[in-house]
Amino acid sequence: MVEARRQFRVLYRMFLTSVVDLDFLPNPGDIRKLAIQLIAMLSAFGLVVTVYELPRYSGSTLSPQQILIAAWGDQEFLIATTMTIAGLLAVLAWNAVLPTRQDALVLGPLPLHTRTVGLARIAASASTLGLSMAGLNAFTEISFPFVWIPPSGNALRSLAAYWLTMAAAGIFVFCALLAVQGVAALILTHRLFLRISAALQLASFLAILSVYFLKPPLANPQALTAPANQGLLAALPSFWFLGLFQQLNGSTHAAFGPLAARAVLALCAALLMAAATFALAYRRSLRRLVEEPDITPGDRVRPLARLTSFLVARIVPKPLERAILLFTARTIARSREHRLLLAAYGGLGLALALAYARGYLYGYAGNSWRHANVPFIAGSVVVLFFAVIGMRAVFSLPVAHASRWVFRLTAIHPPASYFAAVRKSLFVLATGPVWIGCAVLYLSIWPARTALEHLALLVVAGILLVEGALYKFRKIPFACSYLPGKANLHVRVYAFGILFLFLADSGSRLELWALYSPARFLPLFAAILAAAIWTRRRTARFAAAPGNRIQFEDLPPAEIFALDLRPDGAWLSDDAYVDAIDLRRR
Amino acid sequence: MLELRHVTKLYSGIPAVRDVSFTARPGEVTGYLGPNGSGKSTTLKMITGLIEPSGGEILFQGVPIGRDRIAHKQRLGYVPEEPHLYAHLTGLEYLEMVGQLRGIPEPRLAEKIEGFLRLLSLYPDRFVPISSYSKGMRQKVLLAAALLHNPEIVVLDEPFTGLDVGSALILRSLCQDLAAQGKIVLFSSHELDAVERICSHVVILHKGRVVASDSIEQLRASLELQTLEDIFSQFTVEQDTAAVAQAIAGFMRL
Repeated sequence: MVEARRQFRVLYRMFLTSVVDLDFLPNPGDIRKLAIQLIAMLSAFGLVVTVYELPRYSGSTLSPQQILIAAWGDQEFLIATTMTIAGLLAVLAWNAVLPTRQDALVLGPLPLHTRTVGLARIAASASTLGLSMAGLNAFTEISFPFVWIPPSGNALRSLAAYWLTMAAAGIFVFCALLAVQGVAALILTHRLFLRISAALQLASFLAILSVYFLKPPLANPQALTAPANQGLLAALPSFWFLGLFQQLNGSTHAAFGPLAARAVLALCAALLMAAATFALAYRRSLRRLVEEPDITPGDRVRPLARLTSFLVARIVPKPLERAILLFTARTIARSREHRLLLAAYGGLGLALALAYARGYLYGYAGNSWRHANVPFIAGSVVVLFFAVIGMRAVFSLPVAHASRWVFRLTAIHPPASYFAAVRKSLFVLATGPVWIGCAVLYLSIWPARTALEHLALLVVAGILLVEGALYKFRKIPFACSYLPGKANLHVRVYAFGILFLFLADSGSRLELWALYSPARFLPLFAAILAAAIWTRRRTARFAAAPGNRIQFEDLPPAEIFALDLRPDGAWLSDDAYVDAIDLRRR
Repeated sequence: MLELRHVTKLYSGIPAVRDVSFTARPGEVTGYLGPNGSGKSTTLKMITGLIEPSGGEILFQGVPIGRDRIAHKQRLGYVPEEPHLYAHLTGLEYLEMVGQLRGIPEPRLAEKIEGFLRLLSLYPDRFVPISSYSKGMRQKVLLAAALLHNPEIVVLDEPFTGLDVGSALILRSLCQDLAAQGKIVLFSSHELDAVERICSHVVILHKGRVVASDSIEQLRASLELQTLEDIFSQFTVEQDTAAVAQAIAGFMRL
């Protein structure tokens, strides 16, 4: 018993560092840093909401009863945010819940009970979930419950109701996603599960974001009681838990009874399903992991695979470009870390695009969406932007770092050929799908001329983005070492994020203004085209610079490297940091 | 002719290879031997150009290999010590990628790959990811990737690791055939029996220095020893192996 506890503690600590599936973190110390940053970020969000919303209650001229009704929207927003964070965490921890092949091979021969290993995994995931929920609600829980006290209630009850609701909402989402994974692991063969699991993870991620950004504003007495909305309310969990909070807090409004009952029922069902499927799937997975491969073999005999090979050969006729493109596509398709990071960027882009489009969905955004409009224009630009920078960020993360020797030994072409291949890969994998998707969407909903004009601008904007993203990029995707933390990411993300959103919004307004007049459209198109051509030339000039090399080593900041404390020549001349290339001197 | 002249490699000031000189000739199989940590793999990596010497020169046909690295890479095939492969790719995908990176024309590449896969008994598993391959299968993929472009210099770092008896016998014959074609074959191995059978010339390394470099017959005659194992032990084994084994068994009982 004592031995099992000790084993549990050791395993718990180990699993805790791998709950969030980020293999590219350099050492366990970064996990702690990441955890602190995550909690700080969530707490900061809660603080902003509190500082922004709380004065509205204290300074309101409404009666206490009216204030309580007006608060429903904020309550639903906080519940939905908690559920979304719990859901995203469950998606991030997707691969850390069921045992991995490594677990099976490393822990399998050790004298451990499967139960101990499984419980340690669950405990690690639960701790992370609890910590995130606590961080997110750290400020809201000590403020809002005290202004949401109904006449029949008291502060303690309101506080307890708030905490119980948030915990229940978070646990519900986490368990529901765990159950989805467990059911899939149980009903599918191991190979099919491995293939489907990645798609399920991505679908869950997109579903969580879509629901959060697209759910209608129903948190008012009219909408909650309208018969037309009952079907929708039955499908939106954040409203069930709003009902639960209201019931626990002492509200007697008739609309909340059925919603609260649904919340309790759903929570119990999710808990039971998760416990049952997880226990069964855990044992099943452990056995199958040792017997079967991690990656499902592709079957090139299938017509679809043959068609893909045929198309790739036509689109990318040069062998070098084809090698880089296929390696890139296959790595993204099969490496869960890379896929997850790309999904995070894609999800953020999609979330912003959905937020733009939300007004049209519920009919309060004015003009018809069947004509060109700012939200739809901005949405496509945002998605394009995140696709390009997401793919570019993913390219920098290495895969099987020790295996890149093969690229170094086969680097027999001029570096510019490799950079051209990387550029083509970015076009095919990032901008291509966005262009095709936008073409289908806009040609089906907008007049042909307007759609074509917007698509023309989107193509040029895509070229501009790709060329800009690859300027000074000298790497073969996934084949260069990675030093995290070089860039001051937090500051840059916030600064560029705000700038980008401003540019996307004002640029879309400018485009809308230009779309209906050739006299306006042509100069705008010409200006963006000129910028794209200039960026293209700049990138091409840099790629063809005589001293340029493919970069296989990510290097420390220049001020450290400049000391050159390596007299043993550990770096190859090929690996020398070529930022020193100064085009102005050539 | 591949020639190493006074090649030295330091890691943070600590020598891994010191003043190594030897010549590997076309038509010969050169065995590069030494105990663990003696600097064999470091030397072979310097020959491939993966790491740069701290001192000395490596020449091919009298020209330093660093003068035209691209040309050197084009004429070189390398099987590394560790089977580092992109395990998320299938065996077929990996070989296709290497062939495309080396610029082998497509129809010829497909034909070559199929041939290699069939001859190395990998064809039935060509669509299976390398992560599921056994150690021997990975070694075969590495071997196929090294020979795909018909290199002039073949560098094999412990190529027998994980190979079954049949495959090891094929590899032995292959080394001799490649030498017979006029290629430079340089390989390191701990399989002294195999080295004795196929190498015309051996270089023995100990603590980063060359302690012997000659034909096996010459070494046997000059040292008056019967086997390569005896010669190797004479130069490199400093411990009483039986006493160490006894000490290990003693520690197990603690």
